[in-house]
Amino acid sequence: MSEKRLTVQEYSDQDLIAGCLKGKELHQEVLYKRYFSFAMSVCIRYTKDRNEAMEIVNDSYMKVLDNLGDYDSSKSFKAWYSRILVNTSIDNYRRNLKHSSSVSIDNVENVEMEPEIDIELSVNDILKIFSQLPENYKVTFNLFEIEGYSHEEIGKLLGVTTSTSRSNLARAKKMVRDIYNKEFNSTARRHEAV
Amino acid sequence: MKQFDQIFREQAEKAFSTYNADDLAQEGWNSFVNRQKGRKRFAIIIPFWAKAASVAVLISVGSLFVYQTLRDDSTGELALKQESVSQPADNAQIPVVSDQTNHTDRLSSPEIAPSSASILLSAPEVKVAEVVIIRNEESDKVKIVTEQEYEVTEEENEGEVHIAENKIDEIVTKEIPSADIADEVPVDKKTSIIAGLSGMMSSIEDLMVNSPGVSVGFYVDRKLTRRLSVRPGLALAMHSYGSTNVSSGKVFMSSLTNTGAMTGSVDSYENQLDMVTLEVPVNLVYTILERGKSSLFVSAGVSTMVYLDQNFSSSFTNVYTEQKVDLASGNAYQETRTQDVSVESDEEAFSHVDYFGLTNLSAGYSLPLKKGGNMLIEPFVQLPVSDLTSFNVRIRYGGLSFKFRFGQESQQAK
Repeated sequence: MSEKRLTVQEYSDQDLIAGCLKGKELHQEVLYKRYFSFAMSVCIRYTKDRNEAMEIVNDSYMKVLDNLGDYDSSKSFKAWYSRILVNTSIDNYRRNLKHSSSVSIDNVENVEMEPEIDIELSVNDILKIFSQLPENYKVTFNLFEIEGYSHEEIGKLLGVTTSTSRSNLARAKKMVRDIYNKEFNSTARRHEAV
Repeated sequence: MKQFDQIFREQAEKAFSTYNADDLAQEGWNSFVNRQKGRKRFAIIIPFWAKAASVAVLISVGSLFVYQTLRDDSTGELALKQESVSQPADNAQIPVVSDQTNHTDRLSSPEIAPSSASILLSAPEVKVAEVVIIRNEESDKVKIVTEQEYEVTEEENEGEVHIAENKIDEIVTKEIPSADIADEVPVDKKTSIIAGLSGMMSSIEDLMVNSPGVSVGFYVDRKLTRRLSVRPGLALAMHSYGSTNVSSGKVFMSSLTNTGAMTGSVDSYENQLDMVTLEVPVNLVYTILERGKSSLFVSAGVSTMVYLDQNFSSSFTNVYTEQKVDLASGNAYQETRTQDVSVESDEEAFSHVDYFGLTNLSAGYSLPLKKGGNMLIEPFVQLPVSDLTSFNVRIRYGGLSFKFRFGQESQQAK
């Protein structure tokens, strides 16, 4: 009985994983596409553009297939895959560390008062803010605020001390506030004025 | 009112949780498949090399089995070509050294005869000191080592007994194996440098040695595929081997001389062999299993040994007995004599090279280090392909090697 191309909804994660372990390319494709958006949402936060994020997704998925035998089926595949994605993103960040540019905090406009978020930010809005952060600040902010890593874990991942991680996070938050106020608050106020 | 950071985090989580990039999914999959095709080319090669490595290991094990089965048990005893001339002699002064052709010649100093040396035994009622000079056929460096006294058990007038040439056919020496190497192949780099330290024990012929050897070396690991790499190297090893025998039996080396009617046996011996060897190993390393930053590997290869120094010294206590008949009384009696023989031989540097003389087999485990690099722990064995060293002996080695791979970027654990 020949195997037909299946829709995403017809296989469970466990069935797909079992097929991947047997080397079935169809199962690998379905699993890849099922979690592609999720993987991109993780990797895009650590990269400059979607092409680079896609490369990291592919690197991560290769690691998934190579280590699928070690996956504990009792745990969530999404959480396991997420950790691989973050680690691969960190690898990419460390490889590109020497090529990254940093923005001096002195160049950021100082805002005395904490801005208010009165609009709903889209992914593009958030990525626009992230793109203006130095790489180390962006990575630290993502790991702590969104991924939920502790400063100790961040220090081990990035090869920095815990105090450095705290300092980077504090500066990242300040820059996020400043950039938001500059990019979005000023736009909203101009609209209100009109 | 919620703070900015909290609100921003919540909005970010919400935005990314609903992020949709399905429009790029097919493009991403095509890119992934193209990359996989490149890897599959190596995947075809890997099983081939795995089979080749397995065959090499099986052949090596089979050779060892055949070697053990067919090896003569008496190979530990070296045969000596001996010629003997015995004639009645006057009570002789000792020590004396004479040439084979002229038994009455005496040397005032312990000089080495051009091609051989002989040993003279003096009268039995006199404590005799012997000076032994034995020359290795291949070496010009032979010297008198010691003078020993012995006593005879029977008081019969015995003149000089001229013992003809002693030739030593084989002198057992050991050669240094160096640790084999094998390890984890770095993912990010094709070539890496490894430094290692090894400790080993050895077995010469059928005898165990009582001193371990040590070697240090540097190796270059070049990745051929993801799991297979080639690892040439250079190692310097020092060995100091000693073996003793306190009773008759298998002997490491015999210095018995033919004394005509007398029969001799080696009662005890003590040998010491010191060597410094430069080893050039070439091994293939195959990674069997990778778990995060660690890996399990096997290795097989061959080594070429260049001997920088080979110094052999040995001392023997020989016992000679002879049945005699007293012509006057007609009674038969047994005469026994003991003899102490010492030998020393020193080979020049680079005087001998054993090309691909040792087969290397090992398996090991690679552990990542916090500061970068990997630590490799690797037990190994080395089996002789042919006779080794200037003294043509077969030496087997076994030991443990510790190596450090420099500068490998540690892999991220998942």
